[in-house]
Amino acid sequence: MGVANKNAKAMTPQQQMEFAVTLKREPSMSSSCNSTPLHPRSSQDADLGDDDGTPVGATLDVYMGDADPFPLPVDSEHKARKMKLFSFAPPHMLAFHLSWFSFFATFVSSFAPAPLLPVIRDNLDLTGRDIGNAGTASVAGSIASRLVIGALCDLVGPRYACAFLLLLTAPAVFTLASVSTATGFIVSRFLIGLSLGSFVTCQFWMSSMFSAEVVGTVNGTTAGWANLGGGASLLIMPLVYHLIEGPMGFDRFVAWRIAFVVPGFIQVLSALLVLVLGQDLPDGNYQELKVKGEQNTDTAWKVIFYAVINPKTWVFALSYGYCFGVELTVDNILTSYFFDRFDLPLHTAGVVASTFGLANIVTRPFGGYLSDWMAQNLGMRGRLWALWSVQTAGGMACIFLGRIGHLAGTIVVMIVFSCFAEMAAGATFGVIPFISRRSLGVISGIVGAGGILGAVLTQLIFFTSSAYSTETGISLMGIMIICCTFPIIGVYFPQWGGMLRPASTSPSATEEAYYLREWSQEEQRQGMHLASLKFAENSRGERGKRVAPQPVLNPMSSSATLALGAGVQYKMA
Amino acid sequence: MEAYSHFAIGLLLCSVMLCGHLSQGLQRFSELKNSLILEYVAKNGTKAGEGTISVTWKLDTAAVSAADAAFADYKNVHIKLCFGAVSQVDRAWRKTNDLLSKDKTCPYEMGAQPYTPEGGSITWTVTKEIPFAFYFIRAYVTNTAKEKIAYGQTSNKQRTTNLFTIEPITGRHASLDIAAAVFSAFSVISLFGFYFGEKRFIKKG
Repeated sequence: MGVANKNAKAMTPQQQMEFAVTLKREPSMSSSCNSTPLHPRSSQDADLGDDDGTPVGATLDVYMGDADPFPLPVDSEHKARKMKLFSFAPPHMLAFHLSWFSFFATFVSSFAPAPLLPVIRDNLDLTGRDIGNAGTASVAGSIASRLVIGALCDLVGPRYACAFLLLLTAPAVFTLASVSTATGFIVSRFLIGLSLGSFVTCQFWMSSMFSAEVVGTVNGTTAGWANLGGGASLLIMPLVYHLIEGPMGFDRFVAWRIAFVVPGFIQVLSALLVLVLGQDLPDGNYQELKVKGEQNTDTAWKVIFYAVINPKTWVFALSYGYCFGVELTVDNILTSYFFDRFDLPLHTAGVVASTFGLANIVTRPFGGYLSDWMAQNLGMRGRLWALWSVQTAGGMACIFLGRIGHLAGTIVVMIVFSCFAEMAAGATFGVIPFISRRSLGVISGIVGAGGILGAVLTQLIFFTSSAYSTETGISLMGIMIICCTFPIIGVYFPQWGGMLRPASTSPSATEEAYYLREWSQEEQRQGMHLASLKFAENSRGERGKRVAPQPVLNPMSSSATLALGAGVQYKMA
Repeated sequence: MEAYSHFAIGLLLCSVMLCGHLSQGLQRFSELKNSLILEYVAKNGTKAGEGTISVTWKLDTAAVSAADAAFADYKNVHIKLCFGAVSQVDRAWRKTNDLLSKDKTCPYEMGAQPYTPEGGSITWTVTKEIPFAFYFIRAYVTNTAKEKIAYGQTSNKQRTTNLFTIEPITGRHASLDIAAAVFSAFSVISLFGFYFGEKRFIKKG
């Protein structure tokens, strides 16, 4: 087995990781994120030290000797390179399960009031406007918390950042039992909604535990499974409520208050499990590791700057708002829609509406998979086409959803709409990792926050005032989805092309040129751009099967040749 | 042959229309006869769970004579608590709809009695599920097939006069508030406990 050599030690951990990932590429392999789920990497494990073009001094697997082998194959940073779905082995897979479950718990809490609204609106004498504002508030807080929580992760580690969010918002869940006015209700939902920032801790923790090959799949799976919380709460809460109101014989106005103990408990329990069982990094916790090792940290302002000036960030922040954001809005209104328009009993309305969120278990990971699959043959253009067409189809399904007047048709169209909207959310994060290498974290945060902003805007515009009925609001929302997906047509990568334009044939249109434009000459002299360079080489798969122009000479690059499995060779002079 | 087919189609159409007319789903409030007089005793702010409302109803002989009522098969009288117009504003789940099957004005049943020409009365204790709102009372007369055929109400047609309020239970209990406070405190304390505990543990070890 390979051993980390002296050359490798001279590099920063970041560079070590990038070297570890530069391997013989095959057409079936997509670049770093959103790889085919559970795709076996046996060919990589076997390749060590032969002349397949891997750079001199590269490390592949790192074997710890008899000291403490990890249960999964790891790279030089001890990040897992594979995912074993049903394993709970520490540290990687245990972190995976703790991470998605804690994020899931915040979804359950945030959407718990929605299925009980018919009872709550009577108890608190809410108007339609109050309910709309509460729904908006429940997701509005997470915009700020998602932008801020990244910094907290850097400071105290993802474990404590996650526990911080969950344990400090759990009081808001418990004290819902004491609310007696509309204002109190809206404030409570706002505070509970802050916990949705755990999206960032979840993705951050997964990126710390899993290498670039599987991090996309892992991110998509954790986000998709956590989104189930929206649907699960529509199932759980009416059940709990009926248990308390029926067999236990409490009054309606008391029963719903008691019912909120359940999501509160789930949240506290998951946070405590994260603290007790989890660890920040494969090697240990932040507090322990802070003493040893230095990190090549970037400047926060620079990273934010390069995220903000990139127009692609804003295109996808907008489009994510109208796939994921729309999903959140619909979670909020669907039970009441079935209860009020089709006269379904509360429990049944909750069950039917819950299928919308529950579809996430397969649809979101499938969206990421679809993105990868399109990329195999069509590269980035395929990814963009997949995302645009799936999201636009979702918009059209949404327009129909509002128009249908009978129950069976509504359920069918609702399922179709949920599939498309959630696949689009998964496919979005098949494109995000390629927008920028330097500012990936901030861009993920902005896009994530944009998703929530979309939910807030949609709730405010279409479902708060009594100007139009819920069904009209749904149809108008469908039109808005199609309009906000439109800008994706304009997204263009010079080296890969856009939806309507092929890649530029200019010799300077290369991956290296694209990713290195974020680094100034001074920074390149200091060698800060090496990770981006490695990433650029790894992302060559986004060209699909097209023959590419020769890449621009870069003296700092250490690859002599890079052999693609398709037989295309790139010679670096 | 043509005459037969015409006749068959005509019969089919007629029966469909008749069925439609008789089916409850298509019955409209505007078609009901206002033939009951209601009187009630209810204070403003009647307490849910304790307070009572008494309602007396009788046939309005000026509108419908007793004989006509018997002929129309007046069978039962259902007395319902209904939302006044002011409590329906911005609350689409309480909307009035002329189609009786979709009407949500009168969700709470106070009582049901067999119809007699002399009338009747009930006294109803307000149940604990009643929310705060401005209410009036309406009584529906149903026939043997359980369809509504007549009504009477204490308010005017726009449901704006003669409204009274009911004071609901808050649903809050001291024990619930205390439990919420205890769980919240546990949650916050455990966070800081873990954080500082780990710090100290690392310093020692």
